[in-house]
Amino acid sequence: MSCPELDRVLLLDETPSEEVRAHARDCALCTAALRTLGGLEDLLAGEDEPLPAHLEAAARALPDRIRPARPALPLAAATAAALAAVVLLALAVRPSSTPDERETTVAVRPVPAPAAPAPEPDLRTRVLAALAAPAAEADAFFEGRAGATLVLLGRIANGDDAGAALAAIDRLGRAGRTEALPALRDALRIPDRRCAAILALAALGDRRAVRDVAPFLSDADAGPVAAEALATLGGEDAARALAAEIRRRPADGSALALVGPLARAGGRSAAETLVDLLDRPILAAAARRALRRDRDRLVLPLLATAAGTDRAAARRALEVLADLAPESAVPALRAILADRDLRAAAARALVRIDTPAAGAALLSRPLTEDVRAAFAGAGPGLVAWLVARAERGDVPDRAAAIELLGVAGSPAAVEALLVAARDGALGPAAVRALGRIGGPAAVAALAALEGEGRLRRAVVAALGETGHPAAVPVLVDAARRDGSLRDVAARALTGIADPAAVRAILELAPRRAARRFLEEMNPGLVARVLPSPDVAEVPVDGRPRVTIQ
Amino acid sequence: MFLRGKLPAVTRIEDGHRAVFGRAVAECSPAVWRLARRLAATRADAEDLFQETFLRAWRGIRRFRGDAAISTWLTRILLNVAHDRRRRARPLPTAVAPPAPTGADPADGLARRELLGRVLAAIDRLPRRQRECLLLKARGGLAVREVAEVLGIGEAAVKSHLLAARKKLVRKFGREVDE
Repeated sequence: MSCPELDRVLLLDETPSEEVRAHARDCALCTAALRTLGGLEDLLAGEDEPLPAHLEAAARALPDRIRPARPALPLAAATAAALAAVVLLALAVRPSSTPDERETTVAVRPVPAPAAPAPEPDLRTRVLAALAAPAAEADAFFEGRAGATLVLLGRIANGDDAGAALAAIDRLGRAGRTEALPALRDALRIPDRRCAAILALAALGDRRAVRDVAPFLSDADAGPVAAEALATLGGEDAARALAAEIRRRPADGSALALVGPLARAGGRSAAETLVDLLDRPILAAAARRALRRDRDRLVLPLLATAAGTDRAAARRALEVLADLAPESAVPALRAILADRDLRAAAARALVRIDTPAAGAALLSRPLTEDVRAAFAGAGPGLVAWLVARAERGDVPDRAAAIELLGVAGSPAAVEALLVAARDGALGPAAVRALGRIGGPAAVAALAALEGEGRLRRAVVAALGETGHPAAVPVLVDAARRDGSLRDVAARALTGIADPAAVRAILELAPRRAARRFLEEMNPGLVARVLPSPDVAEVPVDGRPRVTIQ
Repeated sequence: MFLRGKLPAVTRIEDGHRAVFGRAVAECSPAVWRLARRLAATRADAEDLFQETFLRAWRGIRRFRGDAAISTWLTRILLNVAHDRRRRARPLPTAVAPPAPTGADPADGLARRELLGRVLAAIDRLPRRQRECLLLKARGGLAVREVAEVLGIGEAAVKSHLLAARKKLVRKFGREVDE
């Protein structure tokens, strides 16, 4: 940089000159310098941050809280006041005077010294006063304070005055500023301030404090506080520390108090540990309660485990998700349905969620046997959704819904299935579904359908499927009216564990056929109707079977 | 730009204190905050600077006679607070760079923050007057006349300090800033 014009160029913005500007255009060195200067000033100008409202409010409140300082006295007045004070002091301390002297002293009139300006308290004094002040006043003082105030609070927190220290620790925690962290870490080393410091670190909410707090989990006094603090701080590190402490403790229930904090800490370690704890006798109930209570924060970690590479852990996570039935898990569970190993568990979880979204997820892929079986536990939400689906839409969709209603086995679907049974294409499927549902309502619906010619054989079979004693007279009646149904009805009766069914078989079927049917029934039941010598029990393939003599 | 306009002189000292201070807070606090934010290393330090500035201003309001704009007076207090803090404790303005603009390439943002950090560290090592002139001009957006008024020195002196500071920075960061 040796251009003689450089100084003028660098101040061109302050002293504009055409001559200098022209030089700056022509001189490569000056052009480069100007460009650099422009870049630096752009860099330094930066972006504006809006003024925090609490700062402006604090500034506005100053006149109500603090009196302005009195201006200092002018030098001459101050000197006069000081001299007067010295004279008065000298007179006051003087030894007993003679009468002559007394006359002299009477003539001196004491001059009142002007009041000296009250010394302005320093920040430390104000901080200490605020710490001792009522809460509202202290809050007003500390609101929005940082920097020097925090440094002072830190010194007080680690100082000799234990009372002020605890108040300072509390304030540091409420400051919400990471600058408070070092002082609180220091306070952890002082036993009688440790619990307060741990709580303050939790209130501060800076997760870097986890590693400072975690070592105190095994401390007899500070352990419970540390557990609560870690739960408040949350996150993976906190959960890992709590999980490690739970594993470290003997299986005597001493880790019970850590289960709740672990769940509240959230994260994948928490979720996986809680799932593991379900197998620990003393802790299982607490783990289950914690999983339910903190369901919202544990669902994502559980889903992450379910999507992980450890298949056993994934299956267990899905079982827990089935228990928790979180609606938010539907999309992830839907994706897991593509995994053949985990499909059944994911389907069970979706069925437990029991919402239309879960139903749509379950039917988003071709229906497989494991998914179909999962519908056995369907709740009212899913049944209502299936009923709606059975009532309208494409025939394949309706047929699938009807079949699944049968698997679900809810009497709430009977009415819709009765309607569907009268629909030409879906009739047989609806009748089968009614048979699977069983119970008096389904039997009544099937009895109503029995008179409808094209479904009669299916209805007779379905009545047997219900297994309900109320189906016996309907079957007998159907067989008596239509001789071609006798064999089907007798076979259907084998599914009904009731003496009336045994008697009906004997009535409807020829002796050889009846023997065959009765051999498929419960031997004890048959024996009650047909006592020996007509009936004998003989083992066949290891199972007791009935043989009609 | 920073701190334009003057408040009327205070004529009735006792009655006017609150009014003057209230207007000072209303009109000048955003600018004081802006400058505090740019002088301080962290947001927390900036908040302290801001609060200490207004605290000193209120305590000393009886000394304010309205000869200068109250914005100038506040800026002078702010600089003194910053200087005191700097002298007492750690260096002040090795500032944390502002966040990169939204949508910018994060790598560019990081490089910019890193460069700004080094530029501020270099400014921190400048002599006091050079540093104050540069910061008031470049970060506070004051004109030379306003800087002179705030610092209580002549405009020629401001220009001299400014030039010296600029030369040092251009020499140190020439190539990096151009890139």
